[in-house]
Amino acid sequence: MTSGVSISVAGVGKTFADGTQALRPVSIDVAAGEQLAILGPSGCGKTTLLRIIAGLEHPDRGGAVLFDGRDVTRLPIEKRNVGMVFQSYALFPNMSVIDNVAYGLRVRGMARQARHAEARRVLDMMRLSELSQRRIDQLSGGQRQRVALARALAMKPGVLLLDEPLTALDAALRDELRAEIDALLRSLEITTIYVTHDQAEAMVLGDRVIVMEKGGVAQAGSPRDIYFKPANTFVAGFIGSMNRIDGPITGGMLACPAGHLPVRAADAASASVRFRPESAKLVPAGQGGLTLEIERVHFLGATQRVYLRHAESGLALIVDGNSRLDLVPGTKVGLAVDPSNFIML
Amino acid sequence: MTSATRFSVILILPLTIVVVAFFLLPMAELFARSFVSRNGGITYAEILATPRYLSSLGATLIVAALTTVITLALSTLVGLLLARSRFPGRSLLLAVLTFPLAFPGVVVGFLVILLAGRQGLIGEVTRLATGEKLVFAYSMTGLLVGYLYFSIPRVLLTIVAAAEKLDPALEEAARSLGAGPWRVLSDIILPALRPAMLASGALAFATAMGAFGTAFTLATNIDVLPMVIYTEFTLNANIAMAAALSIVLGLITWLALAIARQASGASVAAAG
Repeated sequence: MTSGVSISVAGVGKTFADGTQALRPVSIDVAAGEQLAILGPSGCGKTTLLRIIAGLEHPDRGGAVLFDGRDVTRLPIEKRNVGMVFQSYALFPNMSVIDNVAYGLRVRGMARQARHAEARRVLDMMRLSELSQRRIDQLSGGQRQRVALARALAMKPGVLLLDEPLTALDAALRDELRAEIDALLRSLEITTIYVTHDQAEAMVLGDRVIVMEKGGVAQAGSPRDIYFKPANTFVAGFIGSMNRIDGPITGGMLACPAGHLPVRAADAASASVRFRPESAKLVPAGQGGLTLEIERVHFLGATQRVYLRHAESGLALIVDGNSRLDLVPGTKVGLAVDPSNFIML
Repeated sequence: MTSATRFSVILILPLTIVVVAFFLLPMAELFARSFVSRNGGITYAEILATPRYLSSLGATLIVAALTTVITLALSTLVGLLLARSRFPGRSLLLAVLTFPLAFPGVVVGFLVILLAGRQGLIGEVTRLATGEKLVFAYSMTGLLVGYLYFSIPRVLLTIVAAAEKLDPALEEAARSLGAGPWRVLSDIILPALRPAMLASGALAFATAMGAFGTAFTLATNIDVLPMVIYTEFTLNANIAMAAALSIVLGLITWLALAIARQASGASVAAAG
């Protein structure tokens, strides 16, 4: 059983008064209870799309937003029953934590005692009970973030919209809250749209990820699809790191200045193959198809990232591998890539 | 004494001399002279016993309070509008609205006379419309109009600055929780503007309490406290009473500013 509503976005575009087109018409369907992540660099239109779904912006003529099949395009946000979490949290500084969480219920006319009981229940669920009487300026960034989420959830919204909710926090806290939010949202089965520029956030929190670029959808799919089968060069470059080698293909072999690599592709005068840093393997020089020089090594604990360079041609590649391998910059190594790991675009 | 502290002392010396000579000494003199009245009584008791002084104090408080309330209401409304909208001519409008800042009280009084005096615009229009001239420049109403003219720009600028600093997401968050425009205004925006309203309101009140030029220009028989002080001092040569009334005026003004400072947490200073 899910408490979320389904969302349909049909031909929704947005052109601002000054003529800039922030969003080319897009159509997206979100199932009830689904967690959708919208991922993209700043200025790609992801926040505009979220604000249109929220009811904070109107789409251009012809676009429609439907909640459970009901057209809400012209309904203002206060009538849509959407929970929203902002990047700045937007907690009310003139109210205590519990009054912030209970505010939506107060607007609905619920009596003080009842709404405080309900707010306390949500604060308990998010392990914030001991903060209930605090003022907002007495909270840390992570606490503010969780209060903002509690405030949105207290309304039992059909849709939860999050606009870069973790961006303002430091890395360790971000990881912790990401896992916490994921567990919470899955237990609530609420329809969630999560806007972020952070690919790790998008992949953890999204059942499905929509990658946006320049006001349009570049790709929509599962995190796995988007990572391993990027639809275009933008997605390939934006999600994770990607190596690229250019050269002619003859008889199933790609030729480049650093050597030859077997590929599963037809002959071509010029082609590009891409592969993830973790898809390649370092082998002793002379073995594997390519020979390059180790430029530098970044030790990351569990893994290490090796920057390789072919001095004559300038070809640069990165390989993630076993961090126990002690590699010395300046030495030559071989590189082997299994043909099934190549991404051809 | 280290050379650093000696240097600091040298730097602070001129200010100390100025403060003591031109500020503390006359204040002490004013205070000392304010107790014994011309007829050997206690001036402060005489103020309480003299209806003319009491009524002028009451009238001054009423005009200052009305000025503050009307100014805050108008400026908050217009200030919010100006802070939220961007339209061509916005900066020109803001400049025009704050233009009266450049005028001294005498000129403001003159403007009120041009508007509502015996030959004023309002008088002409009402004469043509009803046959009866409406003239209110030489009264408390005229004074109130003058004070509004003078306090709206100051308050407006403060409110616009405070409103522009508000996170627009606060309003959007309240709306996402179901609040309509009026709820957002009363629950979120006005509380957020409270410090700015208190600070600038106290300033408007203090200025209206002490303003002299406008009242003097409008009519010499408008009985606000600064006018009474002037009359006692120059015409009646009643220095003790002028001093006592000055202390009363100063205390009320100072109290208004202190309360506002306490409530707003920001620094508030009287001007005008």
